[in-house]
This record gives sequence, C-alpha cells and structure tokens, in this order.
Amino acid sequence: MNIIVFSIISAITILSAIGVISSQRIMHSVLSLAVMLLSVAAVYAILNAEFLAVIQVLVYTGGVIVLLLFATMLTRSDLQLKREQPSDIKPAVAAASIFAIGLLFYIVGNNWKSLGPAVVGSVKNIGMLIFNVKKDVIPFEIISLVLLAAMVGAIFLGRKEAGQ
Amino acid sequence: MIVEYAWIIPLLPAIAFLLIVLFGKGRKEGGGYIAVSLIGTSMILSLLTIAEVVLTGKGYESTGINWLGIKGFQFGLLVDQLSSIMLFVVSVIGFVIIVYSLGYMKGDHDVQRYYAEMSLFIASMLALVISSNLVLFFIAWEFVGLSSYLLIGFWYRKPSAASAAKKAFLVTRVGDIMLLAGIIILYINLGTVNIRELFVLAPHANVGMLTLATLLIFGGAVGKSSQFPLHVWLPDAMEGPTTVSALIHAATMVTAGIFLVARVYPLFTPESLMVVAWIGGITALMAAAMAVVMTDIKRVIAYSTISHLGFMTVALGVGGYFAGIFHLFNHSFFKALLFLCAGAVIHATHTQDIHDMGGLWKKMPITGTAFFIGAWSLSGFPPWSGFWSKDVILDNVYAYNHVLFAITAGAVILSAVYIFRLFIIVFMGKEGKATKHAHEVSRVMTTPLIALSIGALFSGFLVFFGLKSFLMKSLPGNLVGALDKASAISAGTHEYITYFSISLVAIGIITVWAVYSLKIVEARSIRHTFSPIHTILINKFYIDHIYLFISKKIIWNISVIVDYIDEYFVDGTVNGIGKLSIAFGRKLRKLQTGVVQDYAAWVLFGTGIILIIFKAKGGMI
Amino acid sequence: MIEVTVFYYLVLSVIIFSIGAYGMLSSKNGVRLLMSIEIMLNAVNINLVAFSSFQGNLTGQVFAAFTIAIAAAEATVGLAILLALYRSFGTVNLRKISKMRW
Repeated sequence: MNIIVFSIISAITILSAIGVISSQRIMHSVLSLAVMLLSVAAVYAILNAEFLAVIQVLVYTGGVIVLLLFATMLTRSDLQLKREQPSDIKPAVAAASIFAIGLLFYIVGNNWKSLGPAVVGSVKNIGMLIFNVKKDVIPFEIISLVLLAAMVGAIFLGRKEAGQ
Repeated sequence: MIVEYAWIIPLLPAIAFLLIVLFGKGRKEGGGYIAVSLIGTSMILSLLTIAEVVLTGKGYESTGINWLGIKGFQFGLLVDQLSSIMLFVVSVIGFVIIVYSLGYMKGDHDVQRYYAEMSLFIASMLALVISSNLVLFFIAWEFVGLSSYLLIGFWYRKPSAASAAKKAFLVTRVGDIMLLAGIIILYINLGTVNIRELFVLAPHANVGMLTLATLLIFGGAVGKSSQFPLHVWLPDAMEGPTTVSALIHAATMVTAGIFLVARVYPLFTPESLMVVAWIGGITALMAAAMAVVMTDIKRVIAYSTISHLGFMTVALGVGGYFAGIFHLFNHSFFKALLFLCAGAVIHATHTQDIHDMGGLWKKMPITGTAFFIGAWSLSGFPPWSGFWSKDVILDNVYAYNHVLFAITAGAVILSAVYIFRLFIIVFMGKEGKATKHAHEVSRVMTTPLIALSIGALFSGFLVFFGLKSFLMKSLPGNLVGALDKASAISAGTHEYITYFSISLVAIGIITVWAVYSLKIVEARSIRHTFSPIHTILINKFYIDHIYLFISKKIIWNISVIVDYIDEYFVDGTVNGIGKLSIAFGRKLRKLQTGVVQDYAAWVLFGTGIILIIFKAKGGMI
Repeated sequence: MIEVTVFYYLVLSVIIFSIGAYGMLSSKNGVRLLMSIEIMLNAVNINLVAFSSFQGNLTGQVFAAFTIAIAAAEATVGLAILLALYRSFGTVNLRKISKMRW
C-alpha cells in the first residue's frame, strides 16, 4: 500500500481525534468524531477490510453520531461547556502518556517485519465465519442479545419516571 | 460381653446431666430422680461389668476410635482389674451419695443445677476410670476439675464459696499442667499415649525421660489428690454442700490422682517412686497434725482425707501397689460415711463448729453409730476395714525405709487422735448449744448411712477373698514379681508391725479418751503448753501464707513490670502503628475525589507502569 | 518507497488510543467522555483489523465487527445513563457529579 495514502489518512484520523477532544463547542466535537470515524473506515478499506469499513460507516456515522447529537441537544451540554482547568488535565496527561509509552515499548521492541500484506478479506469469507456453527455463530447470536439488553436498558434509563 | 458395653456406664450420667439441664426445671427435686435412676442404672451396669471381669479374670480393651488420625490417639476403653475396683467405688458411692442428696438438698432453691453438676461429676469420673488412653484420661480429668469447681462454688453467692472454688480450680490447674507436660513427654518419646502400649514400651525407654515424665504425672496427682504442697485447696473445698465434699473426698476427685499413679504405675522408676513416697509421708503426717487442732467438723475430716491420701501415696511410692489401692477402696467407704454423717449432723444442728455440738448420740442414734463405725474403721483399730489396709501399708513402708516408717506411724497415731477427738466432742459429753433442737434425719438420709456402714465395716475382708491377686493382674507380669520380692523382705517382721500399729492406735485412742472424756488433763492446758506448735498447726504450717506471699509480693511485682512493658512498649508499638495508619489514611483518602475519571486515570497510570516494568524485566510478550 | 508494515498501523493505533484516553480522563462534559471512549474503541479496532489483514486470518475482523456492535450498545446505554444523570443533577459536568467522595 502506498505510504502516501496511509500518511494522509492517518493524519486526518489523528487530527480529527484531536479535534474531538479539543473543540470549544460540543457540536464541533461530534462532527470531528464523524470525520474521525469515516477516516477509520478508510483505514479499514486500505487494509482490505471492506466489510468492516461499510459497517463502520453504517453503525458509527449512521447510528452513534445521531445518538450523540441527540444527547448533546437533550442535555444542553453546549451551554455549560468550559475549557478544562490545568489541574484537571494534569493527571490525564500523566496517565495517558505513561500508558502510551508502555504500549510503544512493546511495539518498538518487537520485529514486525515478518508480517507483510496477506489475504484479502471478503464479505463472503466473513459471512462464512460468522454463520458457521463450528465457528462464530454463538458469539454472534449472543451479541444480538447484548444489543437487545442494551436497548431495553437504555429505554429503562432514559424514560421519565412516573412521578417526575 | 457386657464389658464391651462399658462405654454406656459414663454415658448414662452424662445423659442425666443433659436431661436435667434441659428438662429439670419445675420437676420434683429439680430432676433429682432422673439422676438417681440413670446413675443407678449405670451402677448396675458397672457391677455387671465388674462381675464379668472377676469371673473371666481378664481385662478388656476396646480398639478405640481414631482421633484426628494421629498415631497413638485411639480413644478406647480399658476395663481391667484396677479399673473395675475404681468403677465399683465410683459408681456405688456416687449412687449412695446421690440418694442421700434427695434428703440433704431438699428445699435448696437451685437443686436442678446441683443434680446436673453431680451427674456431670460422676460421668466424668467414670469416663476417667475406664479410659484406655492418657489423652482421653486427661480430658475426663479436666471435666472432673471443672465439675468440682462448679460444685465447690455451688453456693456461689457466698464469697467464701466462690473463692474456694477458684482456689480449688487454680491449685489443681498447677498439677494439671504438669500432668499434660508429662503426657506430652511420653508421647514425644514413646510415640503413643495408649496406657497398655506404654507399659510395653516403658522397659526399653530412657530412664531419665521416664523419671521426668512420671514425676510430672505425679505432679498432676499431687494437685488432684491434694498432696503436699498443693493440698491447700481441699480444706477450703468444704464450702460446697456436704454431699459434694463427700463425693470429692471419697469417690471421685481426690482418688483420681491416686488412680492416675496406679494406672501408669509400671512407668514409674525407682527415683520417681522415692519422691512419691516421701511426698506421701510428709502429707500424711502434716495433714494429720493439722486435723488435730481444727474445730470445724468438715475441716477435720478434710484434713483426715489429705492424710489418708498421703497414706495411699506413700504406699504406692514404697511399692505397695496393692496396699495403696486397697486403702483407697476402704477409705472411700468410711470417708463417704463420715462425710454423710457430718452432713446429717450439720443438717440437724445448722452449725459446723464442733464446740457448739456435743451429746448428739442420744438425739441422733443412727448417725452417731454410723459415725462411730466410720471413726473406728478410719483409726485402723481391728477388725474393721481401715485396719487391714493400714496394716499392709505400714508393712510395705517398713520394708522400704525406717524414717519414712516413723513418719507414717506418727500419722497413724494422729489419725486415731483426731477422729476420736471429733467423735467424743460431737457425740459424747454434755449437750452443746446447737444440740437442743437436733433430731434424727429422715430415712432417705439414714439408709445410705447404713449401707455405707456395712461397706466401711466389711470392705477390708475382701483381702481374704483374693483381692490382691485379682488386682495384681492389671500389672505387667515382671513388675508383679519385683513387687512380690520387695514385700517378701518384710515378711519376717510382719506380725510385729501389726502389733505395733495396733498399739499405736490404742495409745492414740486412750490419750484422747483421757483428755476429752475423762478430762485427766485439760485440753486447754495441753494447748497452752505446746502453744507454738498449736499456732503453727492452726495456721496450717503457713503454707497459705507462703503462697500468698509468692503471689502478692513476687508475682505481683513481676506482673507490674510486665504490665508496664505491655502498656508502654507493646501497646505503644500497636498504638503507634494505628496512629501512623490513621495519619496515612487521612492523606490517602484525598485520593477518593468522587470523580470517576480520576480513578480511571489511576488505573491507566498503573497499567502503563506495569507494562513498562514487564518490558524492562524481559517481558510477558 | 517505504513499505507500510503492521508497525505503522500499531503506532497509529497507539496515538489514537492515547488521544482517546486523554480525552476520557480530562473532559468535563459527559458527552465528550463518551466520544473519547468511542475513539479508544476505534483504536483497538484498527489494531485488530491490521493484524487480521497482515496475518490473513479473518477472525480479527469478526472480532472487530463484534466490537463495533458492543460499542454501539455501550453508546446507547452510556447516553441513557448520561440523560439520567442530567435529570438528577441538572448537569453533565462530570467534575460536579462527585457525591461518592470522602
């Protein structure tokens, strides 16, 4: 894969991710997140995972972003948003950087050269995996149950109680 | 056959204990009849068991239950000839005393507790007698100690009774610890606590170790059988009901120590037997001397018990295995009889001071006669039971050591003196102030007296029916031979010693008669002449004072130092750690900000650190 | 031309993950916290897909699909919790929702 394409897509991803956490207005954050998710979809695409790229666009940009927009509007977060204080971000910087250093130790220390581009993923092959009784059908069905439970839970938590 | 069911014997009184505790309330006599019936059944069963042992001539040892899977801890039964003699004593006298209690304890507000504790006492003593194993023996032994504590302190609202119970418990505890140490030494060195296995192993064991172990075991006997210098608890134990005193003195607790020595007799080495003999001799003489000056009817008999236990101990110590057990057997009857008579007297006169009594014979003829029989038997004047065993003891002691013989002979004279002094003061002479309203006690109390009188009169004659050869079967064969050889030396002097002991007793009785009845010499003038001796005796040789000095001056001061160390050093350390933790916690609790993200930051931070450490150490991946 | 190995994807993943972690730890706003978590999940997914692709094993992609499903569920529940918090505290400022403290 072309290093240039990868660099461009990575740059967009990283910048939009930074945009998510640094924009003044929460609405901008949400939109940055949409950009970031789309560019991650692009990353999947250049990794030959076109099925995941499609799911990424459908579920994230189609579902989660809409959800976040609703949440933003319902909680009126925009009105209360203020810049984080230095005292708030100090532990965050420390923890995140220590963790990043820890991870990078592992990545840099290992020899990844042996792994080159390999088999192309296809929707058919993934389907063969997911719907194969001997492979992943049970986790797949359980995921559907989890989604159902999440839905019920969300409705339960989100509805107004009778007295309120 | 029946002997295999011997485990039921202690079980029945134990069941009686439970039943009375649970259901005795509100029942007639607080469940006394439950105790009488179950202990009676137990007595019948033990009589059958004894009959079988006598008829078959063999002891019985059950295989036993494994305890905790520890090697040598088989809890089983050992019913041999020695056990059956003790079984007879404990169950018969226990039963007689329980029956007597129906009359004596009538109207006491807490009879339920009384019968429960008595049942427990008898149950634990029966279990002790037939246990085949020193650990089981020790457990029963401690149960005996516990129930004696409960019974001596039966009238616990009386401060003197409460403190007497405490004293009995603490003093015997000293002995118990020694016994436990002895058992542990035996177990470590010989690898078993089974009594018969010990007998097999003992001849090959290290003599020094055996001496130490047996001396420690004898220490247990010293505590329980109230030998010098741990005899101080017994006279105070008179604070309990008189029936309890009778049970403790005649049948159960104090004989447990003698029984213990007899039980492990083959383990004793000549060195440890020498200690046993001298302790016994000293106890016999000292206690008899103190009994002469006491004025409390129960205390006189209590010191008499100590003295007689001394006789038994000295007998065992000098190799008179049969003599000691024979005396124990006879002593149980006449001592139980004397105590129950004393109980009847106290019941009738409501006092324990002998100078308030006097001339009771006319008022209480049955009790008086019974007391006379007991006193006669105790004094060792022929032909009743006390004479036979005392004769054998003196015989054995003479063969062993002449100084010890002199001490024992002195104790024999004093025995006759104190018991007839007591008899004359209480039952003869002119009426004392407490005598006026006295009258004979009820049938339920006199019947046991009569039964025990028969025992006190005739138990000594068992010696003519092969009691000795019967008892000797419970010892290993080689030891029997050695003991026989030792007693053969004294065979030549036997008759002279018998005449000598009879004349000693006669001298004692005549002296008392002269002083207290004919009043040739005033008792007061004798007391005046020997006033230093009298002071020493009335103060019990100051042994209590010595103990008090040790505990108050020496141990107290050590305790003060230890307390200081505890308060400022140990507590200081502990409190310091506590204060440090609190201070640290005050700082640390600031971490709990309530903001979830801060916690997450810590989690992430920690994970990062762990990743770095793993990588630096060579890595998980 | 430099070949794009799995290493590059891993570094990308670490960078995005760290950004997400920082956002999760620092943001006052609940909605933004949720977004940060989504970023972190995406970083993980990149990892999975990258290894799947480079090793020729589709299981990683299946896993990533599951992760996306779980992330969606997480987002719905998280937002519902946020709404509930908003109703009881009147704010989604996470610094102010700190009742469980010393």
